Amino acid sequence: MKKSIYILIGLAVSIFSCAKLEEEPESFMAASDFYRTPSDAVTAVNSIYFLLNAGSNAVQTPYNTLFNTGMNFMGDDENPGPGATNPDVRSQSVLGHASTGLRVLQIWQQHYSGIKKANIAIEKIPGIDFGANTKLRERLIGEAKFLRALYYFNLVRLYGGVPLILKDLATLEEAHSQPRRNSVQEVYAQIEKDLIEAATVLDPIVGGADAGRATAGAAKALLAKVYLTQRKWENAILKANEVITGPYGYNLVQNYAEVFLPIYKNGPEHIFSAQFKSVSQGQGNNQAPRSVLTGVPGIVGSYADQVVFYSVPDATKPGGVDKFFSVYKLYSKKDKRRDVTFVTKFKSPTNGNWYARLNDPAIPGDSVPFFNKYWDPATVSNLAESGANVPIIRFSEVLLILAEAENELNGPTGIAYTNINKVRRRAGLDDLTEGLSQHQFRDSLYLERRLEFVFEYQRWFDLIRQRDAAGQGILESSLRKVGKNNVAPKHYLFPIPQQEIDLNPNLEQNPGWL
Amino acid sequence: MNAKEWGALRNDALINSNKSPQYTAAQLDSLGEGTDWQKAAFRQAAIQNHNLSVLTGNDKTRVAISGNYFKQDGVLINSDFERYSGRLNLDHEYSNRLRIGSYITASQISSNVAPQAVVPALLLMSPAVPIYNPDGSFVLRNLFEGVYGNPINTLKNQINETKTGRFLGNVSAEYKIIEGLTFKVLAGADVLNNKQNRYLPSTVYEGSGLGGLAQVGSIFSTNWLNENTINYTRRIKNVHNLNVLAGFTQQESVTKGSVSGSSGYATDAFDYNNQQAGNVTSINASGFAPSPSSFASRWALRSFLGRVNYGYRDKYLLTVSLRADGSSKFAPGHKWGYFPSAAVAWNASNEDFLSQVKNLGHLKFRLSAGLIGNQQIPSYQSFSQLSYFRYNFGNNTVSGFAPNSIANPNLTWEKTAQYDLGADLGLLKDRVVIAADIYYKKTTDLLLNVPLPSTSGLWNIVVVNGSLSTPNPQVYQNYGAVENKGFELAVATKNLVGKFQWSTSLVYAVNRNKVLSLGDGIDQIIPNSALPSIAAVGKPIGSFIVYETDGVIPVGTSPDKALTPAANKNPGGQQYKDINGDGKITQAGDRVIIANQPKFIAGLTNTFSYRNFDLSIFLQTSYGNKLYNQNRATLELGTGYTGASTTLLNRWTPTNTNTDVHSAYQDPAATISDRFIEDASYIRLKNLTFGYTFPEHLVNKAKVKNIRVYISLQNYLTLTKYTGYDPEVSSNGQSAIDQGVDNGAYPNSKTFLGGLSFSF
Repeated sequence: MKKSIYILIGLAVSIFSCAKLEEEPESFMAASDFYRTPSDAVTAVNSIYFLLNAGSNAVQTPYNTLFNTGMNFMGDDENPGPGATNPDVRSQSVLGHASTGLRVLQIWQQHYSGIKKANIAIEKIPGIDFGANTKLRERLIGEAKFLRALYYFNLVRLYGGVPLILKDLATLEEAHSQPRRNSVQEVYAQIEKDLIEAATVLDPIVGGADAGRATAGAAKALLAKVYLTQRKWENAILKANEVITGPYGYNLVQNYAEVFLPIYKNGPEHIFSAQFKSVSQGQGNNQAPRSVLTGVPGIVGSYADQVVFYSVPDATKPGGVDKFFSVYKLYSKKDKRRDVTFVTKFKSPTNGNWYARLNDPAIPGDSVPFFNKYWDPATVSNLAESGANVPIIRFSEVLLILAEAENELNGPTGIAYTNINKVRRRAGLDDLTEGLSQHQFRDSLYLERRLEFVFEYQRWFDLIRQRDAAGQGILESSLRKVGKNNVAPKHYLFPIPQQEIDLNPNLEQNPGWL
Repeated sequence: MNAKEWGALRNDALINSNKSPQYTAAQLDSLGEGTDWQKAAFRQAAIQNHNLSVLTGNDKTRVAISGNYFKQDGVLINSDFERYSGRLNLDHEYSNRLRIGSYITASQISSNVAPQAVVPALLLMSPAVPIYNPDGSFVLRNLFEGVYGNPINTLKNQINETKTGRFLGNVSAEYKIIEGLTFKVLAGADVLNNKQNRYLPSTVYEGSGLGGLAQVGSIFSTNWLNENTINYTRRIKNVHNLNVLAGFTQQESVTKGSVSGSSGYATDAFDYNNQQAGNVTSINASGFAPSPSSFASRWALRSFLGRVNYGYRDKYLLTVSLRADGSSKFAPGHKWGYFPSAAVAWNASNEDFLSQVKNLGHLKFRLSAGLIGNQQIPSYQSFSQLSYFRYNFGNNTVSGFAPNSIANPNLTWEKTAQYDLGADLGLLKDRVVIAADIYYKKTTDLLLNVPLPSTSGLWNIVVVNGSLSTPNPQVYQNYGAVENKGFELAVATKNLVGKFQWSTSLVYAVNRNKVLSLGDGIDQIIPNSALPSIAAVGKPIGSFIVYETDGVIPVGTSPDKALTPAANKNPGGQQYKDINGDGKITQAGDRVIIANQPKFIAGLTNTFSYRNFDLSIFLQTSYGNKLYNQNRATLELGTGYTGASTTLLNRWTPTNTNTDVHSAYQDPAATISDRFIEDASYIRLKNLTFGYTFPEHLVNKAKVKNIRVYISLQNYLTLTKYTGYDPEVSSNGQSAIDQGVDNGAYPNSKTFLGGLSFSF
């Protein structure tokens, strides 16, 4: 009997020390155990790029659909197609949205998530021992600054002055802080500072396994665009020239299609692009199937976006009106870009038949054009796996930045003509008519940008930036032209997301938004 | 709404949005009744329950063995739940000092679960869409802008199985050291093994683009428990009663799980059984994750406890206890919580001066005060956790890590101090028993998943019911204080005794809840602006913050004067109350807070028996509670994209202007308003059971001890004004703030049961 009680007590005591209260993470790493080695630093910087493709399939991110559904759909080139079903998106596409719009919040939220990753890298990497390889350390910090600048550049253009968060908000107290909005000038000053510092430490060229990382050329090109947006013409010219003449090896590719086809990715025209990759756990370009007709056997298209159709007078059409005018018809017949940018029919890989959708059965040959820039011939049966990159800035834009800034500063000089004509010649077009006035040249340049960059998440930024001869913004007149009559002056800026104001009452709403 | 009515609505929405109508009058007529999606999906479903028990043993050993089979078909077609279980109880008296016991159950559950997105899809499919194509195949999806896969096709063809095996067992031993002093040790384990098999065939809409999508997941969880207590009981001269207990308990739970998936199959023939025939891709259908993932999670709890009960002549009772609990979930240095309590009671009916009072059975007064703790949060919340963020350079995948939560070095126990004053009264030889309590509870260091501004930079994207939701990033914090005060009354009466027996039991409870403070002097938290829920100081937690609707925009109002934050500013659009009178509707100035918790809840049970018949009726009621009917908010949008509520039959049109239902309009952003807050008070017949037990002299001849037959109705009748499926449901049940929002969760079902039981 004594024995059994000893056994019992033994049993109790042996288990006594088992249930440890210390937590030892098994399926994640704690931040406190990280940021110690150069390899940690590389990994930390990689995570900042994540937002560019943000491969998490269920989620739209800026360069993976979100800048269409949450931004460009409001513009004059793109509309939601029949397959775009989200009421928030449809509401926003007719400019009927409010500060509670889902996409308005997502764009804000996601950019700040990118900024946090940059801030922590910039804060932690200087404390990591790189041994002799201090150049790598500087480069990584430069990449982080480049990306932080890009993310703030998007925010300041869309929302105006936003809170400038430049350190990692690591404690609860900091994370709960309710920052006020900085001024537009303060945000731009920080963007310029980050890009200038990045340009001095980044490599001029990267290739091979590093292709897609930020480079000194990318920092300067983005800086040129930042200056252009602020109408700092001299600086824009200076930086564009540095990109063109610097040791970066940029050039126009002669075949416009090769700018986009995945097998030519990161070619000489690429300066900085969102990198996509097929069959790699969510790194496919989800935009690709959204621009494809539904019901084509063997191709999965969701027809979630399409061109904006609007009416223009046309004597050749019934009733003297072409009801199906769109950006597609703005291209001249010679323009090689049109048939790279759009397709009007799809060949089924399973039965070989061609499929199209007619605008009006009474007008044969006038079928719906579909955007085609992110089509990946290698993933036709599963286009959401498209490996097509999204250009964020490419060489032809630097040429057009130079031409635009030159025209604004000095009028349509030879420099302005030379640079726009480089872009036109590559497209198979004649040189721009000689002897244009400054205003005429500007209009030609705006059109050139629109045709060159359609569907590259650029149009909305141009609509809110560009000004006409009278110095007025072009947004309202451009949208009224295509029947988007809800447009109002308030639309030059996004509303600050209501959910954010609810959590941070220090944020002031933009004018005109409730 | 039938298809013809729906077609007219769609035409209106198009016209009001300056577009051409879709249907001609003749086409409208041909639409006719259309499809009743709910009728096609819901059914009356059967339940079976079989139970067999054997009890045996001698004066030293007792054994109980039982087996059970339960099968329930779901009210949605192709959903079911099946359980086999067995139980063994063993109790053995080893000697007059040592007793050992064991309790073991094992069960196997198989279930076909209806995909979550189906219930909303049943409501949102347009009645103008047929279920089948003329050739007999399924129509793939809603044919209009609101794209939902054909839910009937999904129910019939999507595979969504879960199988759970569970083993629960413990052994215990009790040793009497000396008279009155016993030592007890218990060790137990709960082992759970769950497997989920899912296949989305290429023939349903969500899988049509994917070439099929298979997902297999498993979870293995072990939970063990050890309790060691020592108990001393002493009674001195029938005057002093003493009981002292001291103990140590510990518990640990480890859960590991993994999911794999692939898509792009050449055929649907394999279901989920041949994943290597597909690719690991990025494609994600709602609820499916084709990318492989795995996780591990653990928590542990250790407690020391002590309790003293003292009674003096069974008149004055005193209990004092203290427990110290350590939880692994909290931050280092904050893992332990100390929870004392004390209670006194006075058995007044044992006093001499009351013992003569006629008809007084017993009378007792109770007073207690104590502190209790709560640690119900996920593990690892005190860490700043790194998340994995993937990218690629030169077409090669690279790894990225970045923090995606905030370290909380102070995370600790939530504490509730509670005070209770109560009385128990028995009258007429306890034919009437009354218990009444009033209480006050104050919870401090509230464990709340607190939303952070997005400028904090945390990435928080979640998929809820198949659609993307963007709540702000959240962090578990001890954040604020809440009070609950209330009154509870229980009355049990034996109304008739004798041949015909009737007894009644009534419980009635009133609770008032109020947020006393939120962290750092914040007045309110709105975790998700897509939902009306708010935590605001001075209001009950989870109240609603909404605009107040105010009819429709009158004819002749110019759009810039229209009182609405929404896109449709034309006459006939929804109008809202301008609370602050500034001539426009703003989030900041025109929202009101509406409480939604019940004024009282009550339950009433009546039991009757006469000879061998017995009848019991259980009614339950909740009064004054409100629900935000999120389904209705969608169904009353009037876009012509999705199915629509019949309310819209009375919508504003140029010829029907005397209405408070807004006009049809395309592209509206949903606006959260009081229109969708409904009184969810209800009275429900939760259970009615009618049984008959065969007379013993009859059944004994057949060597059977007892035979009983019964029928039972559950949730059979509900009286409510609530227009959703079920006033008792909340889709966001776990979250304290989001309760009260109904977005089409699987409803409680009405059940009709018949049963037969034998005892040998």
